[in-house]
Amino acid sequence: MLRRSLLPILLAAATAPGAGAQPAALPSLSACALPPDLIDPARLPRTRAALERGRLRILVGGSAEPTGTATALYHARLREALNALLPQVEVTVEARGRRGATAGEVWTLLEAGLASFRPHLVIWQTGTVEAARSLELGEFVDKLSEGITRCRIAGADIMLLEPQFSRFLRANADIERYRDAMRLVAAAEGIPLLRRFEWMRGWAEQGLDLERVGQADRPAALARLHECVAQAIAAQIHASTRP
Amino acid sequence: MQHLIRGARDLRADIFRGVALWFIFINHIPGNWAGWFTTRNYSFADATEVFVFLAGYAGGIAYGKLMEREGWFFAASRVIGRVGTLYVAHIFLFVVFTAQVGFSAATLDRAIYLDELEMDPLGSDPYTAMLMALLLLYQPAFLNILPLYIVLLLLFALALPLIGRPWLLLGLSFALYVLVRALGINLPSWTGGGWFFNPLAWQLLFVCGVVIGYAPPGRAALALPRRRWLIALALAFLIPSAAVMLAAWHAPQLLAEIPGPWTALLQSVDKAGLHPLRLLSLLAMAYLVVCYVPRDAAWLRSSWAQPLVLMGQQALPVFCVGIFLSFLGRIALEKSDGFAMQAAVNILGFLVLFGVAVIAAWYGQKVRGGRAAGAAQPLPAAMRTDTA
Repeated sequence: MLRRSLLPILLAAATAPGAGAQPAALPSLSACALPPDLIDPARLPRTRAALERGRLRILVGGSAEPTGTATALYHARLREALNALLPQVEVTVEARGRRGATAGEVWTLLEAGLASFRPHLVIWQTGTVEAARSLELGEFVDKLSEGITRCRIAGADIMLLEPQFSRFLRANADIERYRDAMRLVAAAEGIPLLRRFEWMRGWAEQGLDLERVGQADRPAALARLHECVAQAIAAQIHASTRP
Repeated sequence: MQHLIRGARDLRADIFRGVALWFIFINHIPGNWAGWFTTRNYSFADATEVFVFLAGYAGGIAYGKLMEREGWFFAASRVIGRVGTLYVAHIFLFVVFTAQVGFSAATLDRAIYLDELEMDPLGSDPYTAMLMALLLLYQPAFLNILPLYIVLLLLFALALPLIGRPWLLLGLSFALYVLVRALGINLPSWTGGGWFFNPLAWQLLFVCGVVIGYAPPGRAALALPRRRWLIALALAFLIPSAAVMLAAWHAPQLLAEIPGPWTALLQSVDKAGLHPLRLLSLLAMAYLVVCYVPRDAAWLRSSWAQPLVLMGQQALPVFCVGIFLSFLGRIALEKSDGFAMQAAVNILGFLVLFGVAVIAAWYGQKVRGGRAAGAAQPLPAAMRTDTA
């Protein structure tokens, strides 16, 4: 019978070495390696001008609470990464966000920040909530285009930041359609797209995988991931403002 | 196990429904290696299409018989009774699943669970969320299949008088499908974006099942003609689709190089509105099964087929437990993703689903046995036929 024939396999699985959580050491990923084709060629003219003046204000907005242990948040790390890359520039980073906020809701938060903080560069993280709730794609695209236009009118550059890599969204939420939409909007508007989904997939293959890390190593992995995302964003800013 | 299986049914429908339920469990675990072998990898249709089609098929058989014997009002009342059962099961599953996900998110410090599974509205506005869940206007991820089934059965209760005129029924159903797709009509959803499975579009697949399953009084069910050219046509559709889907999963860069509008077409294949390619995939597969698997095929009664047949016959409890288990499986794989854990999750998962089916079948048999012994007249067979 079925049950009898499966029992040995089950026992083997339960007693096999490493069946439990094995706290494998985090891979070093010293450079948070990023293939060059994952850097967008689009330019950031206002950011470049700000760098030349030696002051850069960045406003980050997304569907996450901008609070938490400061060292673990990528926008906090972004300032460090930029300081390392551009030591002569004074960088300020501010974050706005709310859990479960759609693109439109994030934009409302960003717009308030545009007026009060007067950033040179806006980073707009979006797409996760839309994909999870399978919200109307056309509306999403309209919101993005509208936000980008308003940002330009306010005198700031803007970059779109893709959702995080997630096996769940890949398998169950049709995330590709929303990523494609973001790619299309970014290309049409000539702004850089931060391809975080793709970056994180690459890092996951090298072992930095938030969805597969043991509970004990999780804080370290999370901090490392934020560091890598921050470095990748800094690399994109650097590439988009090169003379 | 043989004695637990209700043999008077079309076991082909039961076994494929069992497979669909098993695949739903597998596909709902992100990163499950077994997920590379389920239908969604090599066909536009995945387990949901199989499940809905076979629900229609079983409904056509069971309620069609009841309709001719007892009339529309009684048959429709039975359908509505079934809707009640499904509704209660859905609400129960909603409570269990949100508790499970919420507890896991808090204990394991993974807020991402709440975002991905659309549980965050429940946290930010719990009272409205409860109301919207009861109205089926709030459907977190994975809790969207039973609401689809509920609305399909409600529509079916209304459409029952047309069951004897299959072409008219199909024609109306197709017209509604075309209209809904053309105008982008969907049922509303509290979180925006409409229903994940639009019942007004998916009803076509259900009706296809009904029409094929229904046997008019004194006659056999509609026999699909076995034609060589039809078989060739089905294969000519399914084999390239399989190649395309395999490429989409394993070599997307290859797909991007195909000239012409094909990639754009592929990207437009939506699940919410049952894209025509999904519909055709399922119908082509069903046709091949009808042609090559006779109703009385011996392997349907073989011992390896029995667990799946039994799971298909006890679909509702197996489905609900499968949703619960798939989230446990996800947590397990996030703890360790080695071969041992992958094997354990899939084997244990299957055994539990099978165990649930055995218990449900055994209990159902006891209840029916007791009722039949106590009642002066045994219930008509159709009344004892579950359709989910």
